[in-house]
Amino acid sequence: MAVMEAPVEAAEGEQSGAQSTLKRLFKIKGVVIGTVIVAFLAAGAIFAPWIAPYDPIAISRNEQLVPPSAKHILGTDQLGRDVLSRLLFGSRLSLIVGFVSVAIGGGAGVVLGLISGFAGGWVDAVISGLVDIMLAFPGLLLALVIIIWLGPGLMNVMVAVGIGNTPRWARLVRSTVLSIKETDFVTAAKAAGATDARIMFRHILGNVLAPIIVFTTLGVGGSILSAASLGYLGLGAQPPTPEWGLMLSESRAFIRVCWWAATFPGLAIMASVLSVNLIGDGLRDTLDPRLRGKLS
Amino acid sequence: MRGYIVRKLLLAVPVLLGVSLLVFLVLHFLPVDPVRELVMQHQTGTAPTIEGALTDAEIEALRHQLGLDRPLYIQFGRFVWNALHGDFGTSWRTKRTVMTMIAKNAPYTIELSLAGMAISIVLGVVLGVIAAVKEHTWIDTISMILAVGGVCAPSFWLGLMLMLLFGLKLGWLPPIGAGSWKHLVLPAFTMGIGGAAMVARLTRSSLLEVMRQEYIVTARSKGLAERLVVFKHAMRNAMIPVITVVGLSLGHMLGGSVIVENVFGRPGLGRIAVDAINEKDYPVVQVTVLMMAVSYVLANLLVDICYGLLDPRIRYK
Repeated sequence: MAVMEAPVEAAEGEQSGAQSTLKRLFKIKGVVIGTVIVAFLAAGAIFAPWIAPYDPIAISRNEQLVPPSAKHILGTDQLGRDVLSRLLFGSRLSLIVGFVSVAIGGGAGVVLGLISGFAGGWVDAVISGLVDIMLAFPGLLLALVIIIWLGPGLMNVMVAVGIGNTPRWARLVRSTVLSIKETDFVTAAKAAGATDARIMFRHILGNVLAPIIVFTTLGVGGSILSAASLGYLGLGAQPPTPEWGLMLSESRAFIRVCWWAATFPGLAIMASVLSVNLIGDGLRDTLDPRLRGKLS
Repeated sequence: MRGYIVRKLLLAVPVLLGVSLLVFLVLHFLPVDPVRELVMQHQTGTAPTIEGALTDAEIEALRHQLGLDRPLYIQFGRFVWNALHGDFGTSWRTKRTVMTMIAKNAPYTIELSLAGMAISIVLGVVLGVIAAVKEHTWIDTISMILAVGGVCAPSFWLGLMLMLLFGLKLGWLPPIGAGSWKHLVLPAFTMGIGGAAMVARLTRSSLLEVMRQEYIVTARSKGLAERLVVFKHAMRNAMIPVITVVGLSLGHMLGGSVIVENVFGRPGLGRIAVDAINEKDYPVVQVTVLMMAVSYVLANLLVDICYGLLDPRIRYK
């Protein structure tokens, strides 16, 4: 976003590269807002057992569908469970799911992309073909197909979302590798007798780090969203887990009389996705403005 | 141009075959025995009997009858061959052919996707152009805040909120179901808003980039009205990246239909896919998933062809 563009400082003095990047990064409003929200969510997740006013899965028969009040700040759901407490415990799950699925998808995708871009020839043809096939499944569909195979459950959602993200990672890394492969420093490394593995992981990987960092951040948001969607469809976490997507689907039937039980989990999902995306956008503009069109 | 289209079509064939193979293999290697599953589902349909009602020999006979004892490549070949002839098998649950189920449900999904796409294009382009023309003003800031929010809002939540506000509280539109155009409005907006947000951001940045080019300066210095400069000169080039996203957003629509149909209780392909997954009705899963993937590939093909039409340079690469 143009309003958030940071001016590039002309004189960087004795600052290290990383320091000046960080400094430029935090001049972007979105990054600051995003970081604050993430810090807030992370604090909620870490301290949930201490700050949550109630047990997230304790059913209370005489307190069903209580609107937000001093006693229950965000109200209670159809089983009398405190919505705020469930949200706090749910933030643990969402953050974990976000990071683990990105680790799975990113790990696999980076390795596949590196090999495919670096090796070329039939190896590249096979991997790219596979990536093309996987990319033909729109949106959630690939994760859905994998869930059929693994069965429902939170753990399986992480794997499914991770694998679902892999092809996009592989494609990104491959295209970056292809452009870096032809540069002089790679030729120089080759001439100096470096092994393929060394060139791949030391010289090339180091230079594709910028897009990888950006993609990781943006990927966390997307993964949280996908995992919540699967939870909503009943294919993710199972009751009574306080997973945000599941919370929403459980309270759907009561929405007419109990707007709060469906509204707050949705806001929580949106806030967490928004915060990591804001940071991701900022990172993209700071680290590698060329990626603008490519990673949005 | 014809050569370009043919080349693109030929490139799509292996992808389509690969997609079919992947779906086929996923279901083939499921840890359930389709024949026993079929027998069980058949029995629970009439009277609850124990699974052992059929002897092993009878089960093997059934397996042979269904062709499931043949080698894998023959089964896959037969699946593709039958599919090409419009025979997609029979649902284990409803006992109807999958083709009838698809024919009955696909129109709802197509209608929803097209309406959603129209909303995302119109809303997105309008918002993006306004933001770009009014760069650095509060209008720009607000449009972009809306766009960033729109990308992050989960569609199932957005749908429920729209349903709550316009369907239940205000009573303007029917909250659930399908049939009339009124039933289509809320689901279509739910579906389109995410895409609109993406299109808006991209239109803005792409238009701003084009507006800095020299030929725009030329157009301006000729004394052309700003409106003409933007719409006649800049938009044509600015739309190329936008078209890519629109093509991709069709994929989001098809994948998103799974969620939106569930939220609004609409019939459709996404709905039967999820129901079939929950009910372990694998022939139906196979075909619906395949249908969505195939339409996505075809949509991308269409986008590629549009590229070629818009930008002659791309045809000869």
